[in-house]
Amino acid sequence: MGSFLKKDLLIFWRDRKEVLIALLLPIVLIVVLNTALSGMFSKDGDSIDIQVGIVEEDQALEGFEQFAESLNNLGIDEAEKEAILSQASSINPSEMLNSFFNNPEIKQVLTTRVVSEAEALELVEEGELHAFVIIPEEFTYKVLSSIILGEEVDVALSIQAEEQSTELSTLQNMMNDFIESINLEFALGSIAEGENQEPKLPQGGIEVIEGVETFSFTQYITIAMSTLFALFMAQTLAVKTVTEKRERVFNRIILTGSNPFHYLMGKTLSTFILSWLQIMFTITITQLLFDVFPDKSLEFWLGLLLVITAFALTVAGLTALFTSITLNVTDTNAASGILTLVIMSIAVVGGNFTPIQILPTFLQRIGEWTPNGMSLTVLLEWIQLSNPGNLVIPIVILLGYFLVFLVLGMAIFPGRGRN
Amino acid sequence: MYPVFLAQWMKDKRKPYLILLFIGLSILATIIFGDIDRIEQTTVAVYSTESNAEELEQKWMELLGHHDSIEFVWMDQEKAHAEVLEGNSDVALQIMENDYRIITANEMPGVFIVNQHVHQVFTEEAKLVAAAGTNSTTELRNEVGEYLKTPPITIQTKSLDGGELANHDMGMQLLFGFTLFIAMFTIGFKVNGITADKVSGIWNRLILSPVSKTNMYIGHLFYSFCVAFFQMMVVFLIFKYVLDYELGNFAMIVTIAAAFTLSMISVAMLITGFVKTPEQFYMVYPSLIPMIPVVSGVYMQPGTITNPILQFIADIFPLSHGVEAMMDVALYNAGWNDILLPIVIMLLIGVLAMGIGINIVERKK
Repeated sequence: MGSFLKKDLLIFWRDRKEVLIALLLPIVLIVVLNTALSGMFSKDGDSIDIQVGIVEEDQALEGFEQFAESLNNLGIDEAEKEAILSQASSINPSEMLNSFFNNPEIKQVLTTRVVSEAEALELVEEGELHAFVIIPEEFTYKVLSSIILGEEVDVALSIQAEEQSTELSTLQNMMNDFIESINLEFALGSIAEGENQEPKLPQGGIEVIEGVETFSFTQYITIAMSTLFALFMAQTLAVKTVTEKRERVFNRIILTGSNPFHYLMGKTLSTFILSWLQIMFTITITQLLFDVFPDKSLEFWLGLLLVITAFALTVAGLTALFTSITLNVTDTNAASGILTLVIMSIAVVGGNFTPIQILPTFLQRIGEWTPNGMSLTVLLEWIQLSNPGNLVIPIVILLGYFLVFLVLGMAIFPGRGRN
Repeated sequence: MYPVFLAQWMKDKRKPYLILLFIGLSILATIIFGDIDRIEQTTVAVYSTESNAEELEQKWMELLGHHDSIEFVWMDQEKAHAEVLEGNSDVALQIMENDYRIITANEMPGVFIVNQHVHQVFTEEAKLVAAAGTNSTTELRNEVGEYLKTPPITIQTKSLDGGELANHDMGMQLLFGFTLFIAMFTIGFKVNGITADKVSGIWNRLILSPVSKTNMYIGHLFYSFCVAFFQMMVVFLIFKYVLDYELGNFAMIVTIAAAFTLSMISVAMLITGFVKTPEQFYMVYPSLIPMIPVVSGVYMQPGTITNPILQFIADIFPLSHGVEAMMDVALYNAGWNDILLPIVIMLLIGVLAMGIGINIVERKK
């Protein structure tokens, strides 16, 4: 059996393209996903810097004068007019916008500069600015008339941009939130008569369930990608049987008088070794690159190792089953096609490509029972709860899978004779 | 060329199950992943440990419920925690009289989106309550709602020429992205037939026949084109007529799909050039292909991937150009002139990849 194991390991090792793909691709994918996605959602969000031009067409002072003049035309008495004007001077819409843009928190994300509309257009087209905000003519006047006199507003702030982008939608969100909150304030100011108490603002906050550690996106994709590529490993080694069948390697092995089961065992064992090494390599490198699992105890690593070993065994079992199936069917091309399909399908429902939440519920249920899906879930739970008791059942199930696959593979493994 | 084409066709016709399974699963997968309306719904379990939980339920569920993509479901604490722990949902929400806590067990992106919405609802309510003082908040809420129908300050987003800026529809992007992505598997699977013919000796026998080499390639590749194109058409037709998606000018989508298929066949041919047996192809191809949509940014908002190296890699595969062109058609009403450039780029990639691919294949002894 040792020679068969050696054969399979050597065949794999000699195809350097395969070795490179098996070792590098998972890491490349993790790096890409991590750099592309994690910055976007990090809590402080300082990874984005939005360049915004401000086009100020409104003249605040003239707006006030215009407003005062329009009061004259309304024909109200002086005292009332005074009261309204003093109220108006406490509201300065364009000043509000300015203080919003100059708020240090906002400034972390937005870099603003005042430009003319023509300049802004040019800068956006050149890609220097992501978008620009126009404060339209008569903005102050119209807004004041609306708030105090209840007139309809027919001017609006506008954000102009060339096309949709993450930056633009962040800007839109921030501006919308801000404007909603000041509108609400105006609304309350104009409606509520009650003695305006200080609002009891919610404290809010994100809490983690007691005794639970959170897992991060990086941890999620590290585990998802390493289990995914281990699955590919099962496929790779099983599909090699097709080549060996076509080149009569298998028949020759039988002729030598060695036990054909050794052939199967060689495949199984080599898959176990290779997929185990592959996962270890991926996790080690990503750990060194990103510190994926920071400050974890020895116990955590041991648990991780155990689950990975059990999973690698299941993958090896899959190879055994696939190998036997391949040897049994006549259309080997179809066999490799179907193997690819099976592997891709369980990878998808197991949540290796996308979080399983986006799958329909019945597929989620199936996904939880695929070896890869189960390993993924149990490892995420292990990060969260660190409860060794939770590892037992999944590991037993994974080992059970391994045994079932292996026994099935052995049962349908063709014996001596023509096949 | 036709005999080769027909030979491929007869092979599949005699044993149709595999290819039908392949196409069927691809279509199914595309529809599951591409039907984004269902996916974007997040369910958040809401509970309260206060004594007046029922009262709180009535009050807050009504206020929270106005969000397009977050659904709030009331349940008890244990069940809510279990949902989060089992990963069925990213967050649960614990509500109190005037405050809330987001309960989570991971740091996935969904957490922050829910937090933003809930925070806003609670802040607004707090301000309302404060302003109402001793008066009824319900009345005030109605009045404020009325007032805010014509708010003093409004904001709008426009394109540079002042027209409407089409909203970037992530769902649409995923729909096109997945359709093209999954078609790539079918394409690879069929193009691999060339290597399969080579190792089984059929290719050598064909070389001895009067069929020219060019025609042998064209026969194979044209057949691959037909199968992949057929699959994409079925998917698009289902999306358009059964699931009622607005895909834009269908003729243009079909043209882009055709250019994409041609281009991707060439890329598959190039990958074929690097392998010796069809089995190696099965190893290399499915490992490489899932990288392409990731690098091309199909799963993310445009502008997420800013690394120039990644952008360059994305540009040398047809997927990013295909999705971009289809998005332009579906969302921005692009004309034939606008999609000409991506189509030409895809064809250029096709010509280059095919040239290099066949060259490598032919040099191999």
